[in-house]
Amino acid sequence: MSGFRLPNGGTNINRDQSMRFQFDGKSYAGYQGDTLASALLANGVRLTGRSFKYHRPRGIVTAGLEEPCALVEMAAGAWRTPNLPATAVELFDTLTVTSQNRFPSLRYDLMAVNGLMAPALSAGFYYKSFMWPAKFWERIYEPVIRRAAGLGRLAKGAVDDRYDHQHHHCDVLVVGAGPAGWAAAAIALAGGQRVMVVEQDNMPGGGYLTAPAIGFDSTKAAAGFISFPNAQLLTRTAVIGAYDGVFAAVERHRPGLPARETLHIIRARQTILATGAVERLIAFPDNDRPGVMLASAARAYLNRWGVAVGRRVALFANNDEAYQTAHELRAAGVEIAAIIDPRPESWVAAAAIKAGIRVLLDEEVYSVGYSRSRGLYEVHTRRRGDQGGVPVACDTLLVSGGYSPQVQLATQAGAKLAWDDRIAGFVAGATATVRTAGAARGVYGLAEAMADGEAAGRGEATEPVPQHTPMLPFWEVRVGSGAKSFVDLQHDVTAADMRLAHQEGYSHVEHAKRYTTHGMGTDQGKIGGLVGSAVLAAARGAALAEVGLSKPRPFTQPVSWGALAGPDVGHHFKPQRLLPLHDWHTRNHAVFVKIGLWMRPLVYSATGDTSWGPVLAEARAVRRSVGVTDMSSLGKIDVQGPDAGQFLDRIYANTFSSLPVGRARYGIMLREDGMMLDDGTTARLGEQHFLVTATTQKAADVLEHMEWHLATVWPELDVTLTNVADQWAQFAIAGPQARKVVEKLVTGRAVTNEAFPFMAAGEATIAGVAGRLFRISFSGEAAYEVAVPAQHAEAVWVAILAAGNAFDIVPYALDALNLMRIEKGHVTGGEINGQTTAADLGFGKMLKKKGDFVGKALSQRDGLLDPKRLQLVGITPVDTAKRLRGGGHLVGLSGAGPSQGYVTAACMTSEGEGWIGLALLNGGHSRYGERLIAASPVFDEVVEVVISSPHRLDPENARVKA
Amino acid sequence: MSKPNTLHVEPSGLLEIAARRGQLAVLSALLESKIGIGFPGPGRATAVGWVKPSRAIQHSTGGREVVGSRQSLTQPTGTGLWIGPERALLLADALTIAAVREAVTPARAALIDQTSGYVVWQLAGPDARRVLARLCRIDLDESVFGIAHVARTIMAQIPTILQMIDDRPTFRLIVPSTLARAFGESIELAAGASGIDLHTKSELAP
Repeated sequence: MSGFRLPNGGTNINRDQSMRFQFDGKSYAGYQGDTLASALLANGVRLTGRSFKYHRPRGIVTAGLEEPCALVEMAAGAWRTPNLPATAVELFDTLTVTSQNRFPSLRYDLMAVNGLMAPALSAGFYYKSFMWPAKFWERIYEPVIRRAAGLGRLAKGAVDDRYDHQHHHCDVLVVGAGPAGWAAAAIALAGGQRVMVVEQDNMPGGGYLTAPAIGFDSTKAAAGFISFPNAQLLTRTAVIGAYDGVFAAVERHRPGLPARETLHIIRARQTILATGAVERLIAFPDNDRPGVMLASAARAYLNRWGVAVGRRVALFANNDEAYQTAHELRAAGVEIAAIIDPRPESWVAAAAIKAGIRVLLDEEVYSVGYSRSRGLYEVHTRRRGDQGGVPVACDTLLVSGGYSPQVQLATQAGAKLAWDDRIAGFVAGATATVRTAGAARGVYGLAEAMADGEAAGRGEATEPVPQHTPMLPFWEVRVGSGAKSFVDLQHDVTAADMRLAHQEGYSHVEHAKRYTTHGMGTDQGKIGGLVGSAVLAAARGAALAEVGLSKPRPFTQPVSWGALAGPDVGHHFKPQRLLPLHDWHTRNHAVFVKIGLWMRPLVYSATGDTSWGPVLAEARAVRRSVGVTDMSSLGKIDVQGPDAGQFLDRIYANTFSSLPVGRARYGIMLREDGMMLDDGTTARLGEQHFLVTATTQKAADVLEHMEWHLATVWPELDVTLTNVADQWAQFAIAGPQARKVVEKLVTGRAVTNEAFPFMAAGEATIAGVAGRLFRISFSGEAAYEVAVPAQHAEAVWVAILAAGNAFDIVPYALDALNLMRIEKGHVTGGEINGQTTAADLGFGKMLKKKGDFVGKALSQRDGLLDPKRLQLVGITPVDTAKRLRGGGHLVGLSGAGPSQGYVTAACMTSEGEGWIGLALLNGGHSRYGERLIAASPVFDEVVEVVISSPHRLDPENARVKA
Repeated sequence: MSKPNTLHVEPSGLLEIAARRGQLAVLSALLESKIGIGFPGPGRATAVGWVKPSRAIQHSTGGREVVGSRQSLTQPTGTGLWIGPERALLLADALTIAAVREAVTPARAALIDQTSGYVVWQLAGPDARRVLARLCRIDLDESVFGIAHVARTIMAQIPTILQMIDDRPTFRLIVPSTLARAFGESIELAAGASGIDLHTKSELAP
């Protein structure tokens, strides 16, 4: 085909090191230092992908990360990364890549029929066609569109590959290691500052790399730079976004597998964006054909990789800079068919003509001769705006519509854009901490950019030098026919689409973007963004400066999810919180359940049996004799200070200042809006010393709630709050024989009912360990809770089991605990769900009348006092053989009608037969004895239930006080 | 052969000290006279040097650390870390903690035992900063975060109290004990990702 490797040249490649790679199943040769794109071009491969919407054949357009078309997929085992620009994939032996968006093969693509249906696939097509009927959307339209429109595929299996995050800090961050960035970095470095340079290419140099005559030695330069202790250099690293003073960058590691990436998070005092400028396309019919590419790309392939992109090349350019490519190609032996320049005259054109190159001034390319068998074989030129013209035979067309400064990061960092007539482009201003330098601010030319970079390094700026012949703002070659002139090659957006957007009222650049998807591809439309805006501006009859660019949001480059997730995968997705007894639980066959961060035992079963059998066995052992359970995950907050009692009176809805030392009290907290926040017991350990417990789920919320009120609402209170959750292991010993077990464990104080009655609390020595003893019960049985410093957890737990041996003590876990609390009618997160009030849950009388507390005022809102609100009740199936389901709805006996409430918890009962549950029922407190249907549409079950008080087990509390 | 990087758990008594309103100066003087460690200023640690085993509590002044100095202590027996406004965490042996408990009344400060509440890791070695850069958002360059500097931050999603001990460098990383194992694993993973060989004594972890 057309491209080929020249006999010499190419600063990137090592001709002594050839390697094999596979593209779409075919094997090719390349050199070390090649990119996939340069190697494919060297092998004469032009067709690299199919386009997004019309499935048109596409080739390589650029030599950089701005590549819109040549996107490939790399895969190895379960690992798979799509949407990689072939221009960024570095060659290594065994590299295997496939093209994207073609079915069944790249050359014969069935979806290309979309191209024939083009009038139906205009901008906004999906919005218009798939609006109705709405129910068709999810099942029919979306899957079809997704199959048709997807670029690349995701990995389906789990990937063990680890991606990483790394944090950096520096005084000066320089993005881009071209002439400007490199100069700025050197100045900052000499000033003794901590400097970090981030370059997306695999070596520093930028514009120097395509001008070998300059003699910039990247390897030497990099080595010299990083020899400074205050210097850091990241190559192959693209900055993907600016976030409130933090820059995020993704580093592609060395060529090879696994293709790991690292997300770098960079905090800098000052940032110099020397991101360069990207050549832009010109919209003309069939400007997407393989063989049409940017002039700067051809120059890069020539100088960096020793590749001629064609044998007979035409150039369509509106600026002086692009001519350099033609001269260099010609010097390398490539025939220049013609230079087509829409400007009537130019200093460089005159020089080219003098050198013997055919230059067509005041002309434009209005169509491209392309066929599947021949590829690109000619272009048609004409006098600007004229009809017809003559063909120019060529195999490659280089395009240069001028250069757009890369302002994405600057705008994300908050810099304002300003129109620069000189370059027909937008340049970014500076902020207090971010400035641009070099081509990124429209200062073109290597020496000029370098000088500007040096100035930026010193905190100054240079004046751009005017060009010999100004470039001509030139955006589109319009012809009457329906041929497609693309402004966004990746998303298949044409100039006509932009006009349609305006015609249909989507005239603002941001609206047009969303209507047409212009610039919404992974390349963010870098090479055609301004062209699309220009077409829109012409349609609106407005100045391009006024129409502007759509705002480029992060990420400026495609990023793999792995890089974003970093090390937080697998069981590190969230850190696991382990109980102090975790290892004992593990050894003793606990089946664990993850609740929040906690790993908690659900049930103990050697066979992993999580059915009701082992749970009921645990609960019945407690009710019959005695059991012990690990309550260590409870929130525990140490409250001290002269105002501690007063503080708790305000935080809790009930009173704590009156609690005697050595006693505990059940308390409830409300949110500011009057809803219930949490419940728990709080013990008074000393005159100015309380211990608050919170439920496991709400522990962090309760601490934050208390700290926030102390810090901001009542700063006058002298109270200290300390999280002691991890300091204390806490175990509940419950059952009729609990006291006998505790008597054997506790030394130095009596635990009889008289000496240590229900709700007593205090210090005690437990199994020889200084700890705390509480007489509180969640199970409804006589119970003690012991707390010891967590380092002694296992020793004390084992001592409890030994002391209870004579009474057949069993360890019981979360399911049994939950079962027993349902029987007793205690509430947990299922009932304190953020939508219930204290009154709804039967705690209305606990709200103190005297004195204020958090949530008091709003708890008296009419809506919260409505007797028809959902209120806590117990439910029991009439037929004990029927099971209850959590989440089932309560409806009238007919089984129909509106939901009157729902089941919050259900379990088998340890006392008697069958199932019981708790529910929230409209006006439930006045409906005890009523019969309703509990319907579970999920399981297609209906159960007749009788409503009761939630407190079914021992409502007089005789057991807990025994 | 470069010096090894190490990660281990430092067994230590921990006492959280929360000064009562208006008592900070008195409390600091009291602590200094009793155990040789004044109340640390914001973002700093104060430490005391060698204490003769025969005399459990020595009024040591010579070993006290100068904030920001590059000198490190050879065998500190107690360190006070600033962990919040008017609040410190004292890492010390049982006798030192007993001395504080004896001297400080509830009118001066709330004293809360946290010996089981936190696990104290020590990460040391020439590559310690590289390991931490994978987990820690704070600038740990010695020009910014020097010896005896303390910060509270999040690492591996876990609330961490961080202190630089010496310029080996050695960092102290104090995390809630129920998250200590997850934290240790994250440090080891971060070292692995940086290609750093980390010698661990993880059996000391809870």
